[in-house]
Amino acid sequence: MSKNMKATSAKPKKRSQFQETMRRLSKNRSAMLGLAIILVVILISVGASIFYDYDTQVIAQVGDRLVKPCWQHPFGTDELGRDIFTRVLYGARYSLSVSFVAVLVSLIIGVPLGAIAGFCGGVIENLIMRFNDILLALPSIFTAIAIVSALGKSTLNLMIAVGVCSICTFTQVTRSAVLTVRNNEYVEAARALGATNLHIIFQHILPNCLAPIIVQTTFRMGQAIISAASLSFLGLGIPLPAPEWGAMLSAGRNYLLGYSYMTMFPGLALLITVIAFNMVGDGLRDALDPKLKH
Amino acid sequence: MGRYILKRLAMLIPVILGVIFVVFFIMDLAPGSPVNQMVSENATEEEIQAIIDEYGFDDPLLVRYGRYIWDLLHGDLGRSYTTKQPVLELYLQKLGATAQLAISAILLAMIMSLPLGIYAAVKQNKWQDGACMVISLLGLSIPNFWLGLMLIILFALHLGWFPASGNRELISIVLPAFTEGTGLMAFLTRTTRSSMLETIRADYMVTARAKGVTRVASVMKHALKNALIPIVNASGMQLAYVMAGSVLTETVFAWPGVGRQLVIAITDRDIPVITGFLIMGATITALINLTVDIVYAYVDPRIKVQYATKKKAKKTPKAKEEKAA
Repeated sequence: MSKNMKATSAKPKKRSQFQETMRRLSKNRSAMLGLAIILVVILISVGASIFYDYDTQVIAQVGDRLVKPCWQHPFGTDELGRDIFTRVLYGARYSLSVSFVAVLVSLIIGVPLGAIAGFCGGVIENLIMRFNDILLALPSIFTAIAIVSALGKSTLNLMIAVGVCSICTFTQVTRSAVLTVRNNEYVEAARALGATNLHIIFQHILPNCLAPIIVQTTFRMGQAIISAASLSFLGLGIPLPAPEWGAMLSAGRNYLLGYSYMTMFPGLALLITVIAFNMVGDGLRDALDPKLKH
Repeated sequence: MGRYILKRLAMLIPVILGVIFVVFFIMDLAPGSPVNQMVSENATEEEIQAIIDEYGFDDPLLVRYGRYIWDLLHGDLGRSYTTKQPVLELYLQKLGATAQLAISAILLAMIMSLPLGIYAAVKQNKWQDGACMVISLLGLSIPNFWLGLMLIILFALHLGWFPASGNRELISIVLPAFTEGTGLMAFLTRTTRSSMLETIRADYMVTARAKGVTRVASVMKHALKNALIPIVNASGMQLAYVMAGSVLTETVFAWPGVGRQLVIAITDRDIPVITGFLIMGATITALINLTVDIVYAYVDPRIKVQYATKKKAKKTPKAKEEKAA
């Protein structure tokens, strides 16, 4: 123990919380694997249009229908003769962009609401949390279905629907995090210095509540990808003929017998992407809050 | 205790009213008048106007909301636009199949997750723990509609062990229950593991072992009993969630439950059915959650004590922090 203390005190360089987190995260093999997969998926979704041109590769190349996986078509072709491999690659950008915007929407709304609720307390907190109870009472897939069926099918509405469903999670997480730090000395000190409430929330409280929010964001990204694909599967997502993974699964449903590859590959892509986000989420949780790691 | 139940029931009323309002508001955003679903294409102006007057489509949102609540208090959730069947009747018709699926799924999930979670906790940080956590990670990440499709391909189409869809015989519940149960299993395994990890290190475990209780007996009798409360709570919450209707699993397996009917209603733009089903789903979720909370309080004396002192404790910020944590 004393050796350790000496060793750390002798070191002049002190790691910041960010560096410390990154150090712990980089030691977590599954989180690193997850991160690598996410990077590959991002590269695919960005690079797909550089290496492949959807119009010339898929639309113009429409050839034999329902070709089983072969050298030329690694994942086979679908009922219209489109190459499934290229479509799966293109699908990555829909899944990633929808979940990214959706989570962003819920962050932008949920975090300030939770922070205000936790910081102000009283009537305001009650109002926000009761509204949260209402959102929580509706199972999230129901809310999403209601929103899309009311607003109509489009990519933007899908993002809104998936985003609205996660608002209550972020409000809850932020509120409980704020409650644990709002009575700390540095908040009192800031108030004594005459800082406004808004300044205290954004400059002093929220930065100290980031850990659970970041962890939740990662998990929610994975969840949002599933939600978006689910809605597309139900025919409530991105309008056809976009190569969205959920919609591809839905189309493959009619060809289960004999053409199972049509449903297998888009689903695998979905599964791998979601697992990657969950692995990074687990790793981040352990890295940011070692107390939680049993 | 009685007072607590009453208080919780009273708290439920504004939530349900809020849910109805939110659903009403969202449904009101839908473009176009619902009249279009109800009349034939060559209906005259007068016919359309008659229907608008009959259903009050032209009234402001709040008036329709008030009327809906009033009808709801009389047990009337409106009628389907397409089949003219009362929505409540339709809902109750479909609820049986959903309940059957939900209960089988949660039972299956508990049967799978308890041993996995306990085993993972006992073998903490060993490869067995890692394997259990990988299984739970898979269960958590797998989109259940895709899992359902894969199960149909393997067990229904290739092996022919189970029917691919519908609910005609008892055996047809196996695949949907497994599909729905996988996600629940993943969550429950994690809850079981972390709950067990807490009790496994408790002092009474050392005492039990010192008294000569075998390792297995100490885990099963002493640790599990104490770890069970959060597990039961989590299972109850999951049950509440699937009882509302598992839209995707029911759609994949053409299971004649609430979720599938909801999807059909959405395709038909049958607004009274959508609204009614969403509201009933939220109500059932809330009621089951409430029951779980009450059972929870009943089982764990520590919580009962908390209620008794809740009024005083609520005033101090520290208690609030603890509650949040």
